Amino acid sequence: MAIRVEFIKKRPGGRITVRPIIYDKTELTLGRATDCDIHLADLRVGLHHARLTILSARKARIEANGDHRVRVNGAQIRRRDIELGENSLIRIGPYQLSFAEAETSETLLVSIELVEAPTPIRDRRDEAAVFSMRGYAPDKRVTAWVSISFILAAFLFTPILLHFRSSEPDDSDISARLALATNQHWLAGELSSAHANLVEDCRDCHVKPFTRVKDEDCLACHDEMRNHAEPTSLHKARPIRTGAGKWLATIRAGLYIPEGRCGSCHFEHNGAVGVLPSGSQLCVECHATMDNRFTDTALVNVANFGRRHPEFKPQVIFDPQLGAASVRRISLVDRPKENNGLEFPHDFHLKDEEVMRKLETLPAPLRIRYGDDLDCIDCHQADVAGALIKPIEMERHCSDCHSLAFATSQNTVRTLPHGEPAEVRQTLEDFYLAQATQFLMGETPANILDRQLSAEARARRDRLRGRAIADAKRNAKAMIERLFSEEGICTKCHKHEDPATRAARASDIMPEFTPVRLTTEYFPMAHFNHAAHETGEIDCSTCHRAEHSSRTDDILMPSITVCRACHDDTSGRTGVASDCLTCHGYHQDDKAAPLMNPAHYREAVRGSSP
Amino acid sequence: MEARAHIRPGELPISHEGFLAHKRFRYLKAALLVIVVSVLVYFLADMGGRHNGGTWLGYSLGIISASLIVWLMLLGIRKRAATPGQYNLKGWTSAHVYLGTTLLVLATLHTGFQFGWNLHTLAYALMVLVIISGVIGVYYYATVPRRMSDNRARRTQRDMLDAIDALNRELTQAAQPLDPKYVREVKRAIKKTRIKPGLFISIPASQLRCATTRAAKRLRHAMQSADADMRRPLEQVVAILERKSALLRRTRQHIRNKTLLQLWLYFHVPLSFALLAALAAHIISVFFYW
Repeated sequence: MAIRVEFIKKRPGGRITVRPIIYDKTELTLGRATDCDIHLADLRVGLHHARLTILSARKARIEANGDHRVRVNGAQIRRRDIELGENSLIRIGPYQLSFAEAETSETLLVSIELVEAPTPIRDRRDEAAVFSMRGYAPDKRVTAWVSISFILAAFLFTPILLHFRSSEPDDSDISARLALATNQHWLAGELSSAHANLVEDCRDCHVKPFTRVKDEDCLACHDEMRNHAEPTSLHKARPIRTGAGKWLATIRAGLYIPEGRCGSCHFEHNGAVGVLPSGSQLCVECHATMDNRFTDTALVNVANFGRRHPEFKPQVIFDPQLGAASVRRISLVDRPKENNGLEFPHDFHLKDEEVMRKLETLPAPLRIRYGDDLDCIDCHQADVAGALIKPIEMERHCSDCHSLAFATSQNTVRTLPHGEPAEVRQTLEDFYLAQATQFLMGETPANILDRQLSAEARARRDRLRGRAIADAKRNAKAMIERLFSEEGICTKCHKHEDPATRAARASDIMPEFTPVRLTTEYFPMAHFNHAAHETGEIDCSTCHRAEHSSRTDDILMPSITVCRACHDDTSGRTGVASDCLTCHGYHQDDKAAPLMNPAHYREAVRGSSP
Repeated sequence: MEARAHIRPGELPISHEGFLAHKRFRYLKAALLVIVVSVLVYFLADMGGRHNGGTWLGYSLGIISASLIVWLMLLGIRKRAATPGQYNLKGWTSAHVYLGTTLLVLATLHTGFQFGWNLHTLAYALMVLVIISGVIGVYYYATVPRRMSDNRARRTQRDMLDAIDALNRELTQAAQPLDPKYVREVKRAIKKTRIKPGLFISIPASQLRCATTRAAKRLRHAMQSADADMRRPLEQVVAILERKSALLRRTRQHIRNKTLLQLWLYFHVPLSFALLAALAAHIISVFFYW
């Protein structure tokens, strides 16, 4: 048996060429590979696509290789035995095969014709159109460039341009208004409420581009801010960093975060937080071991409130005569006693029956106000903010009981002025003289003229006048003497002036009493807020032991141990704020302290490092 | 994407290790370390006020994040330059994925959780979008290729198009003996079939709308009432139409798979450039008003 393969080609003009090849075997391989018996050059044909076997004179078998398929009469098959008479149409790729019996017997005739155009060389763009993202999404580059341009234009170039072009923000011109709008894109965080008025124009603080906000710019508004201490002292006391601190300082320096600026402690653009520093770290850095470096100070090292903070040092007055000049701050450890010129035992006023009896004699409205006995709040009232206690005033706080009324005339109670002895004398003299005048006016009818009187009557009148005025003077003098004597009403609270001091002043003018200088602020270096401490468990006596104070010179300020019962910053007990700034401020209130001035500090730094 | 080692007969074992598992998750470990360290420092370091981009930690995190972003974007250049060696593209990709994800932590800590309607948050939001699109990309890269090669069954894209063309020609031939009413259906199936499915339509749905599939259905239905002599040619045409429909389905699935592998990049890349612009504007603006 042999196989005759005829390649049929239809030429233009109906001419048909046939190229026959005779194979002297019963089995042929078909495929695109060159080692196949029948070479079918088309991409749609597999390399070793199929095998053709002669089974008998009228029967052949076509068998596809592997995944390939052969189409027989439109159906994809793997293997099919084909009767020669059937005229089956066999397709492998674009080639159509038909089997017939050759004229010479024992030979199978296989005609192969290319019935389809061979695979066109496909245009790459064609393929790309189907399999690419075209039509699905715009080109990546285009999108990228558009968004880059938009972002840079809207968020970078416009604000920069407007920074230089727009004038004052109050101007109504369009660029100014645009500048305000674009400024807000750059606002990295909300301003604190204190600076909320500055939010409209960044240039209020950020004066020069690419330059940090300068301290001078802060001080332009905060011109009365005072420094913590002399710049040279501050520089001497600055911490010497070791270990992690040194490491951090290096990082800060490397990142160009300078220290000693306003902005080193006060952080803006954090909303409500950060403008005022919290925590003790900043203070403790210097104060924990300050005496090592800064020997000129009287300050004791402070590392925390709970363990390493000295006992409070109230401001104590020693001589009311000298006033502020005799004020010194003495630690409560040394049990200081003060002399403010007043006689006032607290325990007597809070507990003694004499006070209660006195209260019972008061008129009804006052009795209701005071109740059965005196409380702290009857005399010590908080100020409007509730933070501090208002100074004691005699007229307001003492005079309901310690009345200075001395007479009733024409239905009015006459009261002596307090604290002004000279005025007291004049008031009394005037009062008695007025009494005499009134008496005299009652004696002489007003409608009688002088010349109408007889000589006798005139003499009698003059006698009466002289006597009345002399009486008035005598009464006034007696009253004044009694008032200012050792038994007088004043001495209940006031001490007589030391005769020696009085002699030294060489004058007989009043006062004869030592002046009273009540301390209004015992702790000038700390802030205390009474209102913040008004909780159910705390009353006045928790801190001020007034009920047990029998002596006027007692200082009723609490010790630090009282505060520490709640304010404790040792670890695990930090529930109640106990950091430095809870009580202290950094910037001095004292007018004697130097003003904040960064230039001074820089000078101090330069001066100390030759 | 688990690491597997095949042994081909007569060959040395080659490890197939995906970019995610590269060097035993070297960059995953590095990323986790970076995250842990930065979170610890953030919560342990005392910043005096509150955290933001302006503290020493804020600056440090900002510098690291910005450099990282620039480096991540260099992958686009790196992948176009074929270089062998230690830092091969797989390594780069692995680092790109893992270190890129750490940005979510680094940049968030850099913000100190301060957000607002401003340029700075815009840059942050763009970064988050880039990372999200990247994560989506990683997911598809991990899942789609296997499905894709199963679906493709060793055909090339060109094979698919050629096969469709061939079927169309076959249809033309096979439809010759048909009545004109049937021919119309076949013509429509040839002319109106759009291979590419719509972006927002599922493959089964696009099959339902496909002109070829419809024609196959209609003609199969028509076959029941057709004349006896029409049946055989109709049967042939329907067989071809059904084969074409099946082929179209595979082709469409292939297009969808390719789309899944690419679409995220159409967000990832332009958003990255937008991020780069916003980042530049962010840095300049912050120091402009220092």
